[in-house]
Amino acid sequence: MSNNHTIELLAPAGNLEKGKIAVMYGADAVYIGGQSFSLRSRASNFSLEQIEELCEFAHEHGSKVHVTVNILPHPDDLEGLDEYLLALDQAGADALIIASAGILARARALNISPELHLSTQHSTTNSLACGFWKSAGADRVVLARENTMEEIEKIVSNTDVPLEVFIHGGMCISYSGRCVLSNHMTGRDANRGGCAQSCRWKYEVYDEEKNSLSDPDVLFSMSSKDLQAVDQIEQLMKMNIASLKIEGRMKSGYYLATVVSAYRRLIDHIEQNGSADQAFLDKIKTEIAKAENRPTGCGFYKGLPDQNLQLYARHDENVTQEYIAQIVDLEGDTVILQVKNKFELPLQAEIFGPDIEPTQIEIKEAVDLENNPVEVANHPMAFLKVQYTGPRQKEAMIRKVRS
Amino acid sequence: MFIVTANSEKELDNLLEKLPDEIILAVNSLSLRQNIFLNPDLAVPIINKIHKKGIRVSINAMKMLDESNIASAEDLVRWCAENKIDGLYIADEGYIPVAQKYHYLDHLIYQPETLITNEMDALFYLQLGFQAVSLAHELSLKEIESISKAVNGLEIQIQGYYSWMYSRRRLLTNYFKQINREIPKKCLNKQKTVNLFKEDNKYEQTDAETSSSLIEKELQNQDQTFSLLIRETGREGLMQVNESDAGTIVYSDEPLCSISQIIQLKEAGIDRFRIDTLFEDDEYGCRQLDLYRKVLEEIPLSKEDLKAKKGTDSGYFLQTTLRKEKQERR
Repeated sequence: MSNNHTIELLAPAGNLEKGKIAVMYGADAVYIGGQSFSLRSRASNFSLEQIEELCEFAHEHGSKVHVTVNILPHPDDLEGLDEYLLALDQAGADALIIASAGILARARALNISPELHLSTQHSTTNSLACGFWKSAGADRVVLARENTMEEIEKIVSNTDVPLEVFIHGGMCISYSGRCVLSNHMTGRDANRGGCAQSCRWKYEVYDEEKNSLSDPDVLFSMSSKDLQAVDQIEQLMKMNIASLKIEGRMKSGYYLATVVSAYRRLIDHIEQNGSADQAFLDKIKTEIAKAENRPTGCGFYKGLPDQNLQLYARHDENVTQEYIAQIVDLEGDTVILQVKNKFELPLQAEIFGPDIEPTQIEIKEAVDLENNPVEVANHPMAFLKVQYTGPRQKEAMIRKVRS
Repeated sequence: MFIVTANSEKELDNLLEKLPDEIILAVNSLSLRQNIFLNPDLAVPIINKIHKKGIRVSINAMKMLDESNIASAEDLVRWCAENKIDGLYIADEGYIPVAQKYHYLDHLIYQPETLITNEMDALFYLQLGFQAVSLAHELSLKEIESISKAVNGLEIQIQGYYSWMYSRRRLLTNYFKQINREIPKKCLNKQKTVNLFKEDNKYEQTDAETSSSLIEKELQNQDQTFSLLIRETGREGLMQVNESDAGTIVYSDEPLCSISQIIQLKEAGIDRFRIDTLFEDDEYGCRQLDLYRKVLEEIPLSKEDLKAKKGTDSGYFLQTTLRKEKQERR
């Protein structure tokens, strides 16, 4: 791997800015969607020019770019496929993440340079299937999120194709690619970028005589807690998994910076020390929780998920507004911030950056660019000048300290 | 050709009289969304009986394979090859190397419900040597025709309930634990799972009486298989949900019916039509078979025939799903 890491940390990016943030905060590779053949329609998918720009940026920083080509295309969607695959090669993509067996075969036939990775949308759950996909031309298989740790261990020992596993982010309740609830309940194609997440809606339960069995205060839902696999990283690293993947192409730059940098620190720590103790793991978990807006759990890693790994509440997502500013420039002792969310001064805050571990700072006062004092920063995207004692770095982020 | 699932012994007897081209049976824990009714001791004689009627037999093996299923999957493929089973329905590529080993690849039918949405994907499996590939349910007639122009060996489900979601999780059990209630015993599913191919062949090594007792015990232990209905709070449709060791499946809120499209599908070159009889009575498959045959033979449908017509054709034959959030329906 270009960064000399033993295992790849693979982060999502919904746009160019987020892609650069993910790289700067420690991703060995980022995965992005182009404007064709990619799921996650609400992510601001990349133009070919933007893909090329991100590839150049990533390569300069020793990172890679994987491009998702992961829809299950209908006949009309196939138009322009060859040209698109060749263009991604030309743009410098390091790997393509492909769900359709037909596209995989076509990409292999075109003899393009990027590695071909079989997407988790194909839900590969066993070593025989992994071996088959290798023989069919896949350079890597992204395992289904339905595998337990014990199963992954067996798969690794029974196949020689490099494997990628999810360690963080949203979970499909279904085997990925095998769900069409959204198609039938909203007309939006789950396998072509339109998933409406109908699984997370509320349902009533009945017996065959149509007697209601559900609790009106806690309706049935097929909504999963997000995955958080901090406790499993060491084991995954030791079993020679090729890549650890974070889900979330639609997540914010702040979320990416927080989650990517936390896993980066954990992986580096394990690489340097051979393991991480509970105190270190707890510190990483606390850090990651600062960016979460949905409860998390260990997914299938400890076995079949029970009710505690599902979500039934009416509102399971919280809006986090703790991210308040980003450092955009340094002028001597003065730090130029861009406001992201409202805050009042003086302020106890925490800064973290590409090279800054989370550190508490106190910002006592601020002025705007015309040097007018500011007591309440309530204009998102406005610039402020501040001075404080503590670490600083362009692109670093500042958040409120939770009480 | 018409392919019909058999979900009970009685239904199988009825189908043997109606002579479909092929009958699909569920035989062990690798089957999915189909009732298992064959006593392991009777499986081979029954398959022989079906063959003697000139009807092909295929086996449902659509469960996703986890690492612990690999030995059973190999047992199943070997058993199918030894007993001249005409087709094996699979949804997991793990079967491919096993089928290659037993020279059985040309018997495989790829039926992953959702994945085959274009000619390139269909061709991928057919060029490997598969017998047939089953198209996704979410294709329009126009799209089916387009795929069929490029590919032979396509199958399509024309009748019955079909899968909308397949999870490995026990979603019903989890919910009832969450609300601290028991799932009523009456909701126990009739579907039971008897493994024909136990690693130790325990049934084969015992006399008939012991074998039956072992099977009964195994069935009694499987009391965690449920069948319930769910309805999204803003919609009318009730969706059947089955939960078993294989996970949870949510089915369509209405059965698919292709009576009005069958001629067009036939003319498009589709040659394998599947009728799924899950959740229906033992005569349902025969009634539907009669209907479709009459339509293809251009025999006018009587009022009695029309009473047997069940389901909706307003699925995807006449429309396509939206690709992206803001795309207008084509």
